[in-house]
Amino acid sequence: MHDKKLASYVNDIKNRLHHTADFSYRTIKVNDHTIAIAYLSDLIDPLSLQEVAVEPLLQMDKHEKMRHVIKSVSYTIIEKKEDLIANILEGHAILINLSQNEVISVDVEQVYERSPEEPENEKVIRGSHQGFVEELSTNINLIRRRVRNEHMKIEYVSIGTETNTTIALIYMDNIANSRTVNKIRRKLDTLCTDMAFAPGYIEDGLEEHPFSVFPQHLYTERPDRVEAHLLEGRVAIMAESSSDAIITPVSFPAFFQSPDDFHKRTYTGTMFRLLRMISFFGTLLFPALYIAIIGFHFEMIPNEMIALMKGSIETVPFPPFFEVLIMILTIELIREAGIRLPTPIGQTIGIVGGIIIGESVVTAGLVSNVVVIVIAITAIMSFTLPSYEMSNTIRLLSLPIMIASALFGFVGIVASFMLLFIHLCRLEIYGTPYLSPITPLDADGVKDTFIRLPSFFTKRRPKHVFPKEMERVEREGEHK
Amino acid sequence: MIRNEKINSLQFIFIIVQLQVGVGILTMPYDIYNKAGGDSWLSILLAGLFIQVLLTGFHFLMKAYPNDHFFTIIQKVFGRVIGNVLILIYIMYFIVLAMSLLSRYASILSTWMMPLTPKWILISLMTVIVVYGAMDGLETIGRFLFIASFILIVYVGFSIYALKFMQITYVLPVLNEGFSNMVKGIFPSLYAMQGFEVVLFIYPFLRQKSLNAYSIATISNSIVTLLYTFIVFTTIVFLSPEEIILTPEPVLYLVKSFSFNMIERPDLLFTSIWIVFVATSFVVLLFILTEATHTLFHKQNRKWMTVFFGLLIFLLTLIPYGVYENKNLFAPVNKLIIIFSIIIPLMITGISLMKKRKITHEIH
Repeated sequence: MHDKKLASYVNDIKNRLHHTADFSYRTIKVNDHTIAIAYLSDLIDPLSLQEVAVEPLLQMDKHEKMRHVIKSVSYTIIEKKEDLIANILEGHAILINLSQNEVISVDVEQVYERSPEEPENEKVIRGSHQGFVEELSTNINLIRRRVRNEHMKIEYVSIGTETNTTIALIYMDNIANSRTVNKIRRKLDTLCTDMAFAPGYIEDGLEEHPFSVFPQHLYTERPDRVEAHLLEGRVAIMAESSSDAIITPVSFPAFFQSPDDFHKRTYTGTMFRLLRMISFFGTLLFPALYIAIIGFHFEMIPNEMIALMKGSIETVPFPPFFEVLIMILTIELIREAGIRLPTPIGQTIGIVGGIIIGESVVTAGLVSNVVVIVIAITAIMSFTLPSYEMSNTIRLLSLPIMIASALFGFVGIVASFMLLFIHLCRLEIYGTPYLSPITPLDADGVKDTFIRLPSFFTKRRPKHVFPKEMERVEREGEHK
Repeated sequence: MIRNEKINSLQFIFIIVQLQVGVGILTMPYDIYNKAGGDSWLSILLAGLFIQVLLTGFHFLMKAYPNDHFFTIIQKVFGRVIGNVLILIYIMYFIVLAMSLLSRYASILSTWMMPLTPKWILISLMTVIVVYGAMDGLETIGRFLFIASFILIVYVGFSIYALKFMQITYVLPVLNEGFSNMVKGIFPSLYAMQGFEVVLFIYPFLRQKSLNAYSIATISNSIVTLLYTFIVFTTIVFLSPEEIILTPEPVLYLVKSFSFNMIERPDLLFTSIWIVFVATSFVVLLFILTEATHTLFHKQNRKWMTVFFGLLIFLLTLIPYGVYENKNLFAPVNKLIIIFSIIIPLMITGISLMKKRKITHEIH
């Protein structure tokens, strides 16, 4: 009687899973009960299933309930068929005992994860070398171990109508602005997509200016970076099977900070930050400046240098704009090819592209020496930025500025920089002005953005994130 | 009435400063020198003092209507019909002001840097930038103008370098030209410092802080007055009296005479950076225009209104160039400043104060 019901029960699960080949089940008979164990065989760890469920069940007494004998801390009692399917898909094994009317699920998921190694694209010299992995619970573990605080709160949201990816919203409940958190939660809830292709799709859903060139969220694979931003009142968003944390709301200077800076002395830390700022402007400016000077304002060049410049550009058959464009394209091609190819070949491409092409293109007289220097320096400058997104953005942005400079000379450069800054002034991310703390000026914020003063100078959290608690450490004798 | 846009006191200061420091910064020493000679820098100081007196007058108006800007005050003081007519006149005035700004910008740029580029291209370049900047309202404008103000440091830096070659005898003895000439120099100084009245349009947007609009306007007036005095002084002690009379843009001549090890012609950089000041003045003018239509129609889409005004000003500025080039077409515009930013605001202040007094009398 029960056996028949059990067979139809299992059949029902099979139907719901469309008779997928990796669905398996087995039945065991203990003291007249027939217990079915159903699971997706490729998703579970058979050894742990045996240890957690099968062995204890075989030694079960007649009147005992299954939930009392299994050796697992996490089991759920299933009441609805929908939950049952969801649990199977999460790598649980379903134990069904219809004679006692008991259906429970046990977590026996097999997880293959790499160890938390240092992320390739965010290397530092001093400080922690830990990086996130593709397992959400490991990542949250890494953060929790750094922030041992009862106020750190995690919310799970499920996104993707087909993939059901778990997204974690991580923030400090006593610091993060609740309006910002609500806004982010609402955005995530209304995010309509069949798959949460993290982090790209989630970022698309979170963005308030999707058509701006500038990155509006900070990606990081470093737990220490997440820690620092959480304590300034920002929110981190992480997805299952993605090793990137999205940090929001950030402003422009955040893309120029590296965790390394905080382990440096004040002067060197400040120097390197300013160096990155200069790189930002240099990348945008240098190619355009070259075009403008050669094309329009040759009289800008001082007397001593004129012969030098003239000699180098005399044989070049192209207008300066095309000269620069050719070199920029070459550099971009080398970069793109280098990423796609395996490391040893990638290095070869770098040598072939960089040295041979650069050398022969000058010898052939197609472009001038000066252009090669300008573009090489520009490329190196753009790679100094700690944020990959920002470095791509500025290399892309340098193109329209070059066009403007080819059309109008210096006036074109100034005009395009004005447009750029107006655009930056317009951007706001969850109420945080993108250019803060420069404009609107927040003197406290500048201490830890463009320069780096020792940590005892930065006693207040950045104002533009609107934290609930401004003071980092509550001073003695001060009560509200 | 007042929307949610708020600006902080620093932004407030630099909105006023940037509107005042417009095209005038390049030409102003020439205009003033023609009237006041070696005492031009004293004229500027006096003009600054005069503006301070005016601001004090405006202070009472601002205190009487803490939540209104100038256009809504006009409506309240004169009633809807006369008020709206006056606002329309003001709209025309600001359009003419913007046109004069644009045409002077185009003519200076084409004389100094880009003689071959058609002027309509230069004008359209500027219009595009400014419309984009003004579309989002005062917050964006405030942020942008604050950043743009760092360029003032470049200007002061260049001028300080010029002091290396100064001839102090060009300004000595003080009051050489006589008192009356110095007073005459106030008028061109006022033309160069036009824009102080913007305080009447933006004070309700000021975020409540310890400083009120009057003290902030005082700070910005001092900045502009000192900056202009310094630039005029430097120009006079650098260029000889015979030279200044021949150079309509003395500041550019001053920079042109330098050459550094790295940069042979700093004036090219100087001129191209100067277009930022044109843009910042124009942005504020566009904002005031959209505020005016907002007062007239109560409901509007700021984006499209900005685009509309931008296009209108662009097309109107092109007209004189289509038929004939007239450098002096916009010269009389300066005289309008006396009416629109001094006489009418003062009149309204007087009327509104009298009205208020009447009301309080009736109550008592």
